[in-house]
Amino acid sequence: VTTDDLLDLLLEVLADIAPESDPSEVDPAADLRDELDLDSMDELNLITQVGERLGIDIPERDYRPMRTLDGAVGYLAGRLGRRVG
Amino acid sequence: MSASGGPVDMIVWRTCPIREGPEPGDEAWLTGAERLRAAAIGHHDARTRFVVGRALLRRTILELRPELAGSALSLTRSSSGRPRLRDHPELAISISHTRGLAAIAVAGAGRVGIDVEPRSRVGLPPVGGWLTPGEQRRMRALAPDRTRAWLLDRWVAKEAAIKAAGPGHPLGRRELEVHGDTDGDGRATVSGVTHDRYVHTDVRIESVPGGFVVAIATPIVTRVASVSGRRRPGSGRGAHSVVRRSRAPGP
Repeated sequence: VTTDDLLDLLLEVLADIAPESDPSEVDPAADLRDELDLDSMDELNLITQVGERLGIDIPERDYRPMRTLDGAVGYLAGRLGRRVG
Repeated sequence: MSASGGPVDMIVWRTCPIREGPEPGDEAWLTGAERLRAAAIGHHDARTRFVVGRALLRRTILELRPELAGSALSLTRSSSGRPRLRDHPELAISISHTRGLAAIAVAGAGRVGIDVEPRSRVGLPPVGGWLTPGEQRRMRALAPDRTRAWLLDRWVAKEAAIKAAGPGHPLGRRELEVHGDTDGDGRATVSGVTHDRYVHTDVRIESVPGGFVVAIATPIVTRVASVSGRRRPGSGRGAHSVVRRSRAPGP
């Protein structure tokens, strides 16, 4: 798994949650809630689906970094450790 | 729009439909910084929600505290991330948006949380991610035609309770249990226990015209136990002390 793979996964899940938007156009440092009009339920769906796809449980205390693409990729890479090349 | 208040620790809450764009006059309620922030929000609907929400917030504050008319009403964040007025930190504020509706709650003191969702909401997260095991058992016993409304009531109740408890709140959705079958309108409580904390929150759930459900939460008691081992509220063990107590919204 590479950080590009993680970004692709996030964009794929986001495209499913916010089909009216184009996640690939989002500023990687911007808050996804503002950029894609996500609310708390969308946020939990994103985190749950990404966690399931990667086989990890993301605890609620770790939700904050998942609010931007950069933060999410960094957090997931840290969680996956050596699995990220 | 809807409102509710009590004689002590008065809370005012309001909802406002969000249409294609802000209503005439909404932007006049925004500060210069907020107008810049609104302009930077990439999604049109999110930008509209922000503008409508801030305008509704100021109207709601002035309903609770009309003597503040003419004041700047500058919104900032406390060190814990909670929204508050820079010059009136005693006011508790909670903001919620969903597609088609903005909701605001303002309390004269203490804490408050509000959350809103459309009844037609699809794509609820898997229940294992936000219901307690006990709630999952109760859900499985429900008639299928009651399940969606029951789940939405639980979702808004937990979200409102988490906002009322604040960003430093130690409990997640899976650790907070909603007690009371509200069926779209009514009162419930949300509670949970960690190794050193007991959170108990009063929640009022109401249907809002247009097909929405809103929950307004106020913490009743948060107990901090001694940190040496797990303590259950009411167990008579440990050095419990009441941190705060507030009155729930309602007539």
